[in-house]
Amino acid sequence: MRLLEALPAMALGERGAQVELLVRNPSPGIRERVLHLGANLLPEERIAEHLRNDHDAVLRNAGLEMLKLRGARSFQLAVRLLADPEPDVVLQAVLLLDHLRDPRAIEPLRAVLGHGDLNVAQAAILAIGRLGDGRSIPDLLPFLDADPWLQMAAVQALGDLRSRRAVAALARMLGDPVIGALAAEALARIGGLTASRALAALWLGRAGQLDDAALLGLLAHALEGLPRSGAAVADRPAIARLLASLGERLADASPEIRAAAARCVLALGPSAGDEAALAVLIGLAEDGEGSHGAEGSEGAEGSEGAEGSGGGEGGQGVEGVAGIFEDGEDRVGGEGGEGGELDQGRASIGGEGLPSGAGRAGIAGPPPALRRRPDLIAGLLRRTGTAGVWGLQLAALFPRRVAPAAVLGALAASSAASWTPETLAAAVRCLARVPPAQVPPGLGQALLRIYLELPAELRPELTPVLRRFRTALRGLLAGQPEETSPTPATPETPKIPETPKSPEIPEPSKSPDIPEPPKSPEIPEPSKSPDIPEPPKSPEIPEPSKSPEIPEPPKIPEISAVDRVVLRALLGVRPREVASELLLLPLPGRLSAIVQLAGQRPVMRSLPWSPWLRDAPEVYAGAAAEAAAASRLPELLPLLRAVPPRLAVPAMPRAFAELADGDAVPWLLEVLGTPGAPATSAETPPRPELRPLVIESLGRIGGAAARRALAAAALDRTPESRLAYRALAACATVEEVPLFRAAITHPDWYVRLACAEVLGRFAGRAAAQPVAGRGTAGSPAAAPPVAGGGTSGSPEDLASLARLAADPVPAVAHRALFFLEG
Amino acid sequence: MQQPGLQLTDEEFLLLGELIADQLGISFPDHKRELLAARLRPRLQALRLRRYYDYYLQLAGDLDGERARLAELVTNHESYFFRELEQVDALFDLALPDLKAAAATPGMLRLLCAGCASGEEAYTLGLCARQRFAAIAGSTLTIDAFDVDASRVAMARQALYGPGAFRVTPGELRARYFTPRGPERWELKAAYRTGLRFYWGNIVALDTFAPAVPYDAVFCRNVLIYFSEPALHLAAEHFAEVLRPGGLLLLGACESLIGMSERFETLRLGSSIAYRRIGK
Repeated sequence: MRLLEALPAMALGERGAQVELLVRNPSPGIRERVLHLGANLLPEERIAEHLRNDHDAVLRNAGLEMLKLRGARSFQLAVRLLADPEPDVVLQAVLLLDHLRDPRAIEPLRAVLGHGDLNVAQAAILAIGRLGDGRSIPDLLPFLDADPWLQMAAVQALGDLRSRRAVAALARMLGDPVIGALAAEALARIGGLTASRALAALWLGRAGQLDDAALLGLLAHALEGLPRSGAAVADRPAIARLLASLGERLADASPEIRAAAARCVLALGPSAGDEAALAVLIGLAEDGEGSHGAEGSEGAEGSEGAEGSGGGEGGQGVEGVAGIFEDGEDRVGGEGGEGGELDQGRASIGGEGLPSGAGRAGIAGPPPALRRRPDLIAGLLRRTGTAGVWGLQLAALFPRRVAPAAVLGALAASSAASWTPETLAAAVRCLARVPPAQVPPGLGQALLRIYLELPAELRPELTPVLRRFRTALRGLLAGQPEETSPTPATPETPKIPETPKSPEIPEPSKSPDIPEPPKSPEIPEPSKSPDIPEPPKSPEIPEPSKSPEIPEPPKIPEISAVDRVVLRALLGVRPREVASELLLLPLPGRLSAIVQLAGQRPVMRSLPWSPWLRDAPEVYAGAAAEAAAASRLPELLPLLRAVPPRLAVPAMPRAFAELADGDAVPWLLEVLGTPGAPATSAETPPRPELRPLVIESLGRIGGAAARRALAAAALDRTPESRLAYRALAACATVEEVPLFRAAITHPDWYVRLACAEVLGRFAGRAAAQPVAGRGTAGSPAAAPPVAGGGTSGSPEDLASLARLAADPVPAVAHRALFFLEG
Repeated sequence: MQQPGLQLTDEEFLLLGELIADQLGISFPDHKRELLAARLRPRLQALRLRRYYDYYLQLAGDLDGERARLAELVTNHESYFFRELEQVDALFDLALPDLKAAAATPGMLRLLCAGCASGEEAYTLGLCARQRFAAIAGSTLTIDAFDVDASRVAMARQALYGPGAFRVTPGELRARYFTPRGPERWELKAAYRTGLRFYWGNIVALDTFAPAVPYDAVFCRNVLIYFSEPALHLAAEHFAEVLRPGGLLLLGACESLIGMSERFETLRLGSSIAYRRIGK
């Protein structure tokens, strides 16, 4: 460890020798750190020499790793080394280029495909595949008939490149005991009709003799990626045999086989096996949900990814697989890199394999197989639970394939109180695509009921949809029966609702305490967004009269006065009107409404904050602080500073920090007090629960007084000391550097992290003008870089950083290395 | 859907993970980072916080008793009746005579269910004991059960369950022990709730569950798998403290105490493993 710390200060020759020694250290942590240091402290030529060391594999590998760590700086060296007379050196160069993934490497690598050393050629084949440049496909195809070592590499690489030209050759390899499995996997990645046929034939011919789960999974992957191709062909004899075989596997003991078989059945298009396949996937999803919630909840990751990558209708929408055993045209375009489409239809899917349960975090997105079956949406929407949620999620992806009434029916039948964030997101996406001109009957009631049933923290997600249908909702709130929406008679003449006048900016309050506010920008006009889609032209859209009947929605619960005011504000009622209604609310409700509308700037500015905070600060301080922060109302800051510190609530320091109120520092210091000592003011009792928040706020505000207080808190050896170091790091100037330099051996990793941040920022760079540190994200690393004149960097600081680069806590070491390497 | 910008940074993940491990013993390794973010996100939204760091500060100061809510957010609540029954059967069929003979309080058999969630396991112990009333005869059985999630403790006291709790329960058993209470809800009959006590407790905080009289057996199943290694050691020590010498500790099938404590010896109970508290 001491050697590591001393490395930066050593002479070059000694430095190199010490690196060579330390790369053999038994501790993996030490070895990792010395590689990083060597990559940055040793000259390139010295490192390259290690690649030539035939006798010392440790040093040779260390050399390669250091060159990798140097990143793009090593590119030119790697290209030069491709011409080295030593095959081992050439191999290292190929591996280095493979690691760098620089597209400029394609030509140099193609040049060594013919190298006499098989290892070099093999590595070059794989590297070319991973570069993803389809222009190299013709160079790789001949290797499918070469030495098995190179054959395997070529199969892998052509799969990486999604080469359609290789499909026939790969299909011939499926029976090979050595390469067959690789070829199957490559075919699945390439996809397309021919590849799918080959895999299906393999399944029919050799099921039970191979790894069924793996093969079925590959077949499902390929089928799910097939392009739109037309009508279902489930009655074709070959498809029938395949479906029969898959049907047997729906009851397999292995959940992997059941899932893969179900995916295949659904991907093949409408068939009698649909219900059974759906039951399998739903059951697996719900089983995963039902067992260890924490483990199952990992599905939440997949669900977000799947949602995010679902794309629109672009890639999917296949209803069947035409002629999978016929010579159907493979309509997918060319190969990767040649104007074709890598992963046609597959890139937009995301989330393959078992639909994992998600426990309390939500239901995962619909399986990829279902994304090819918009014909199933209506049926799914009629169901509850996982199936219903999938129906909603699919309806959001294929809005033109399902009538709004069907979506509304599904929403009306479920209780929003039990919705997960994913369900709500799907519902919002569905509703957002309903043209405001074609509002189905009952939509307003359904929306209102959903809003009122949702947990408070989820309600804001519904706001855009509420605004979209404001007309219907306003009428409901006013007690008017919901109008029957006009039948969308001619698609060519959609009714565009009248755009309501934008609400006027309210007159500022006449209270002398509130200064004349600057003119705010107008609230943007709604309903003219390009979101209103073209009227549907597809004949497949079900006629409204054929859509399922919307069940009688449950009665809307009574709307509380608070909810009414909040809703009216969200629906664009004039801010002054809302403010007046708000003032009529009894106190608890009034505060609740204010907090819910804290981000509605015109409303917040219309409220009488001055008399409120003067006469009842203990009641209104929190709400005022939330409004100030959410609506960015600096005019509230003097009023908040006038609130006695003994009445401090958490929202207040947050607001001061959010608005970088330097004048609030004395107030904050009053609340901070001194641990273990009597309050500085007889009126301000200690508030230990607020100390972390106040410390952080001081760091975000900055300034000399804040820095002094933070430095004192840092040295106080309390549980908040770490927070004080961190806050000080956010606003530190060169004057604070010695404090951080002295703390690099602090027992708390979080303090050492702050040290790395400050020393890194100042070491060898211009010193700071004091900056009112507007902290952004919760990391010292997010603090703005400082600028100014003068130099504070010293070998001492570099040595301290080097020492932190050897820190046992990876977060600290990486932070220090970031600055050393930068 | 999440607030724009509501992402868990590396620093925030480390801080929150550290705090959760200290407070609850639960470990969130790197691959569970997004899980942690998803679990906490709704709470951030409810509190109108813009950063996970703000939530860390809320916890650091225990503002508005937020730490008490943390358990509800990050603990796994899934449980069901008659889960891993072979172990329960082994306890009552094989170990019961010795447990009774050496009971900490003669004539009483005291069991502890640590990390009881909403009570399914504790009630299962009670029901299995009743099924063996002849073997139990002569001893009064009491079962203490605690969990760090206060909301789950409340649910356990209510003893009202949905279909998920009965996924392996035969219909006849459900009909025998439970009363239907509305669509897909069943309530454990009052007679089967006697002798059980539910309360809030924290495995890593011994003072929250240390008894006046040691227990004869402790069940802590499918809880410790989420613990960090330091918390595992601590849990083992705490269980040793609350068990009488010769008392048994039963963990989940995927859990092991090997290497965690020298105060237990391993013993086989039928096809299950148990740990006997050694020493005096």
